[in-house]
Amino acid sequence: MLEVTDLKKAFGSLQAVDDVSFKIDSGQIMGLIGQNGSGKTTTFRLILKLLTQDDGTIRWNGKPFTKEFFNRVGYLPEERGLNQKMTVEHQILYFAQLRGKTKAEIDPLIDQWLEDFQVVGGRKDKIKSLSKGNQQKVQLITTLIHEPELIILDEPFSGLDPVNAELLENGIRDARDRGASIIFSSHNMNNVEELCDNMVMLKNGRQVLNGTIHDIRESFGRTRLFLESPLNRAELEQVPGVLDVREVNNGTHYVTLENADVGHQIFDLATKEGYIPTFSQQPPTLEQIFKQIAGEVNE
Amino acid sequence: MNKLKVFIKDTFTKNVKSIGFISMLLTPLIVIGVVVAIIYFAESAFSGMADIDIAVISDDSSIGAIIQESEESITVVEDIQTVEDAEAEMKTEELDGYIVAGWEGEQLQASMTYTGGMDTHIDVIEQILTGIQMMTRAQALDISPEEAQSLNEPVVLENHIVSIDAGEMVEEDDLANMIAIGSAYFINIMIMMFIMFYATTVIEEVAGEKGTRMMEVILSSTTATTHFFGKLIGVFFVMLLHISFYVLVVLGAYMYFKDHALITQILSEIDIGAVLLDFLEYTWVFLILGVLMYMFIAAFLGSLITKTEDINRAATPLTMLVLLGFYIGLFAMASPENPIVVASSFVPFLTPFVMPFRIATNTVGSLQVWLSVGGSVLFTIFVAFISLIFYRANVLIYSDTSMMKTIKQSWALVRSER
Repeated sequence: MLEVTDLKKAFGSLQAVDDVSFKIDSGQIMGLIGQNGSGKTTTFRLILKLLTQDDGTIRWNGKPFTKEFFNRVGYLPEERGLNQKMTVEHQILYFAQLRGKTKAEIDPLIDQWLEDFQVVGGRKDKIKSLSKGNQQKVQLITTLIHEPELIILDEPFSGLDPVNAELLENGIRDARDRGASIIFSSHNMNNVEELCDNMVMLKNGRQVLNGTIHDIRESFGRTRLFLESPLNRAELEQVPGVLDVREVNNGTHYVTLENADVGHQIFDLATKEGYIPTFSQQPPTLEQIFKQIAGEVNE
Repeated sequence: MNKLKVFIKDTFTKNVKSIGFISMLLTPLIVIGVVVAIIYFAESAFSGMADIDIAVISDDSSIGAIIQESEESITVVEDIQTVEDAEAEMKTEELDGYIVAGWEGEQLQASMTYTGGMDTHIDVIEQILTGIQMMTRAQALDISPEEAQSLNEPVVLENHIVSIDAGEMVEEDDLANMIAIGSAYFINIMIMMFIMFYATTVIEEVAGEKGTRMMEVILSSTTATTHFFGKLIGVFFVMLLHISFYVLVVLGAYMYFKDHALITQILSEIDIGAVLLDFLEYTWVFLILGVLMYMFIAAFLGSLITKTEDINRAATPLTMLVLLGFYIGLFAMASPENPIVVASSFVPFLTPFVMPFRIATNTVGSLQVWLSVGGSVLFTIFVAFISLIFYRANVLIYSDTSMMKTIKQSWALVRSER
């Protein structure tokens, strides 16, 4: 279990990470979201001891996270990097040996991993001969092949097509099922929503959201309503507490509410004459929450 | 496997397999091979004379016989006795030339007609004919052949070259001098080549991993210090292999050629033990210190750049330092006591280039030599320490700004990491 408490880091006058705290249990996946420059990569680098925090603690299974745990880590940095002149197997073995594995342990696994990730290219091929997507998959293999207990993935989905993104998702789920604690950052809220148990959002280094995806969404109230009913746009707009009405397709309206209680009024109005096909009152999506928070003026 | 070992092994195996290393390893051998081959062929071209056939047309048949006996490469064709016959044979290229010789009193008069390319033979023939004339005249004067020979014996002239040192005449051993100077040049060039090659290798190693953005993964699995020393030790082992290879080649060549006439002649004139002792006493210290010092500087410079394409940019300041040292070294040979030379022999990053020349020219005492060695060792440790501090900060900075800005940025990071 990784436990980060009150983490702080400043670069000169810039407070890059400010009081960040979260916990990832074994077998859990956490999403770290935030705009560019919000402190995600710095947080990762602090966990990995690439930087030293000004304050706060990072604990692994109850003990301070030190370099002795490095062998249990799998890290995919945002800036991907492989040695173009190395062969695929040399690159995988090199990184695995730096995680304390021996050649004898990793060598027999390489073919299966290349197959699982559908890498087009053989183990003896030079990295530079692979396409960018395949290079990215090789890098993912180097991150996961030593079966790390703590996996940190910085923007793992960027640059992947939907097929490869699914392969990565499977890889992440497999690692979770093994009991790994996983944290990844992403700009794609769908990935976060599909994969994560928990989520933290950073803004200007500060933690603005922390919790399960469900709780976070619910905390914003069910203010999004999909309605297919006899009510037309003008009627809906007249209901007090309705902020916006948009017709999404024939007869279905997407209504933004001031608060969840407004839904009750609309339900009563819409069902006055009985059955209606759609009344779906939902909390905002992660993407909407992201945009909303990112767009708020800094306090 | 210990992570330091992973870096050492990877760096070592990668580099010994590289084309750059193999060509660096073999180039001097190829150059020496080519030079030896040229000398060998040139020598045999000059010393060994080609076989020629000539005719000797003379009333005195002993002349032809003496020429035939005196020089193996000349065959006197006895059947030809007239100029016409000789010229006819020459036209069919059966004969290389002919001599018409005859006595006018005690004067042997001869003329030689020949095709080109026989110049060395002409000198020999002239000597033989002079010998024949001398013997004939000696006979006429009733002098025995031994007495005639003794008249011809050259004087004994011994050469003593001296130099005036502080009002004293000092005899110079020319060969020893030549060897000392030659060794100093050789060592200066070798130190420069080794430093340039291994410093560039270090820059490539560091910049390669930084430029390909592998550094973050590496530093999330081990410390920058382990990476720093792993790379440097790996490259250092490559250098040790390099030196060992040359030592083995020299030993092998010595074992193989030690009975060769030329080598025994050289060895009898050179006190090889003294030359080796000179080398073992100081030079290896400067070579290894120089390479180490510049490897640390190179690691620092390599960590400043962000793209592999910028390797040359990082190497430029280092190249300039090395060239400065190299040229001061050359200048030191000509004026070993020039104040600039004396001063720069104590400047740590110039010491490896300049001091060997001051030692070779006997213009420095051993206390000063060891002082400069001590200074270089301390400086190397200092450079290693500073390089390591900056290296740890630099390796994660990916700014596209100038190197000075990167240094400032890493200094800020060094301070914030305290």
